[in-house]
Amino acid sequence: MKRSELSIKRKIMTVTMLTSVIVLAVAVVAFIAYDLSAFRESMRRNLTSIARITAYNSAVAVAFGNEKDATETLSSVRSDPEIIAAGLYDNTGKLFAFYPTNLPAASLPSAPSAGYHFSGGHLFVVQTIIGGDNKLLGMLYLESDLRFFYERVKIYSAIAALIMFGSLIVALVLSNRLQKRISDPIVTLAETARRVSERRDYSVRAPRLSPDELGVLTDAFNEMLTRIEQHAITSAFLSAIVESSDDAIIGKDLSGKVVSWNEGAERMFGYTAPEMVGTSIERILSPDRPGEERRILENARRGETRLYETVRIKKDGRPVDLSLAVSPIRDAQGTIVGVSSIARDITERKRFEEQILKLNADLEHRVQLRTAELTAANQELEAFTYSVAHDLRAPLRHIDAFTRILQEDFAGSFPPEAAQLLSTIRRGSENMSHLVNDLLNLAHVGRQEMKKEMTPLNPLIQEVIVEMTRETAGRDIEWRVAELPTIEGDPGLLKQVFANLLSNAVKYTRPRAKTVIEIGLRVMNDESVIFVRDNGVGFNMKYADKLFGVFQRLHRSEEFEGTGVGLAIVERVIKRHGGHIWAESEVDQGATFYFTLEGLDTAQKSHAPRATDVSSSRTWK
Amino acid sequence: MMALNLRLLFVALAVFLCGFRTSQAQVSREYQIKAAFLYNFAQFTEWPTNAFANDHAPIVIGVLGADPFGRALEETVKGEAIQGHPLIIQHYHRADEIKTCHILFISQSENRYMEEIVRSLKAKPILTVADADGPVTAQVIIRFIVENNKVHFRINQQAAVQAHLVLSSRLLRVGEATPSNGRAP
Repeated sequence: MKRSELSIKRKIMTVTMLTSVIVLAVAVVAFIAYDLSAFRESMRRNLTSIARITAYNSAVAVAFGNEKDATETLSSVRSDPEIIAAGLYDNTGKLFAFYPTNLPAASLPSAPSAGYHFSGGHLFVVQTIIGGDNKLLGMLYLESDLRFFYERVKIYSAIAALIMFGSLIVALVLSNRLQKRISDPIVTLAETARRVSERRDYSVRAPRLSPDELGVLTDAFNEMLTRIEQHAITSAFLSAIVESSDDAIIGKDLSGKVVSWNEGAERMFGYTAPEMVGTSIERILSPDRPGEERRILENARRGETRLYETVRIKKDGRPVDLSLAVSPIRDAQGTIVGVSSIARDITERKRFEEQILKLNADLEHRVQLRTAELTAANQELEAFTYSVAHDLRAPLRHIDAFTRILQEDFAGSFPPEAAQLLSTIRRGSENMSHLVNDLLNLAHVGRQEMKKEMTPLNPLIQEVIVEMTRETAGRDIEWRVAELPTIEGDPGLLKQVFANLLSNAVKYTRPRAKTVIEIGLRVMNDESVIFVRDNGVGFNMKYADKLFGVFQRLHRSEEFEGTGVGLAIVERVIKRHGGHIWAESEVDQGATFYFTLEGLDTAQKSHAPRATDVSSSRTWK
Repeated sequence: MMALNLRLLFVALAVFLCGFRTSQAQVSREYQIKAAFLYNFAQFTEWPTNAFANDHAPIVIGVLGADPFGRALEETVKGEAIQGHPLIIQHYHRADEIKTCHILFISQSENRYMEEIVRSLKAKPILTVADADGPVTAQVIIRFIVENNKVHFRINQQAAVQAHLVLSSRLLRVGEATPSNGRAP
């Protein structure tokens, strides 16, 4: 930490110092270079103008070859201590006069050409000497040493070194103070980051020391810590859930290599996590199911989540039945990077399922057996009933016949009480006769061969109504009979149905001054239904299920006579015609019997429009 | 053999030519310098504007009396011009022949008539040059002097002023200017 702190500080200071030194050096060098160049130029101009003046002054001396005057003129350059040599040449280029006079003539160039140049620390100027009319009279040669120039260079170098040294110290002090403003937030941030990574403590936060980019960085860093903290909590929860699950939860990459293996998987397959992680899932695949895992992976790769039932092999070699939920795992960008499998051991469930199937099969078998037994018993019972009823008729007839003879032939010889008892015997035998007949009828209905033919229902109903004339005599009965279809059935049995239902209706409307009996057709629950409705005494719906039982009566026979077999017969006939019957009523609100018949739907459709057309009904009185 | 003879012939010819040229140069050496001086005087002298008919009018160098220059003067001024004025040479026998003249070289042959010549040219813008030093030439503007085989000149500044001529101060410095009384210093 100490080293890193030093490092960033040192870097900032180094950068600052280097920058200021380089900038300063460039500036100083540029300034000195400019100044020296200007100084050199001014030296050249100075020497050139001295050369011009001297050339002008010596023009006549040169023109007239006056050495004495020329030497004198030339010696005027003495005023400039930098000029170390001068020479005058005539127009043929011959050296003519020179300065200083003790100069060895060989040190001056012969026949120089006009111009100037710097070389070897000296400045050379050669000036033409012009006469009155631009006539070239000769040349003037001046040589100046650059002593002052080099002195100036030395002074400048010393000043530059001083400036650099002073500036360096100022820069050092300034950058040492200013770098703290940059390095302190960074160092603080680094310290926080180090604490986070060393202690895995995501609850610490870096203090925000400056509102600049470093502040933004600090905020972003803190925000990141908050997210990591939340994420760590979430992932701790999730891994606790995964680890505590009874199900095996397995993570795989797309090649089928195991990435995670929870405790549930360890228990289920017998392999530990270190054994499995990093290896292929193939070890637990069943050899009986080749290609299955490949298909599972392909489905997941397409992004599908699916349930499978399959078999895997445990470490000890035993198979285990599994239900498997396989779903794709996506990274933050939504790319599928792996597959998660959640496996549940369904060996027990499989066993129960098999047991249930077996039990069901047993039950079915037993039901069939029992049904067959019951059917046989029923048939025996019916045969017995029939034979009993049949056999009872002869003695009944005898009882009835002899009782009648007694009444008719010996009417006067009995005391009135005896005559009364005889009547009771006759009434009882008549009742019993009805009962026996009805029972035989019922048995007959159950046993008789069906003679099916196309039977129009309306004529059947008319016949029934006509045959009931004796019972309806003196009653005010309104019959509303709708148009009914022709259906395929046994006409005798069907007539029996209407006879029983209509006689019931007539019977139970007896207390009514005005009776309305309606026979019609309607559709209930998508089914064509024939109904018979009366406005009679009705019954309590509580007993509706007893209605169609043999000998079941809802009214006292003192009130309404009957054997309690009629509706049983009706139900049996309707059942034999593939239909069913039910009734709705309320006490004193009349009753409605509904029934269906096989073929009624199709027959009704061809007949439908007028099926319930009340206006077409007819009324009998 | 033939080549040797030819070489000998060349050598002989070269010796002859050089000798001729040398003798010729010795004869006119003094006057070659004096001719150059005459030309140089023109460079450092300003004439009044009315001395020229126009900007291209020639500067006339006149030689009065016997001409000692041979071809030297002609060669010196040939093709030369000063400030647009070409230089030409004219010869005179007597002073009254002089019409337009800017520099007049008075030959030694005219020394006897010097006073008369000077008087007749007085107030004319003519730079008079005498080829002799002495009391007779005191009123001439420039006098040639030969000392130790070297040519010098003296200037009579007074005479130049009288002739309305402006001589360059540099010329005056080189020329050994004499006071107006004409005597040599």
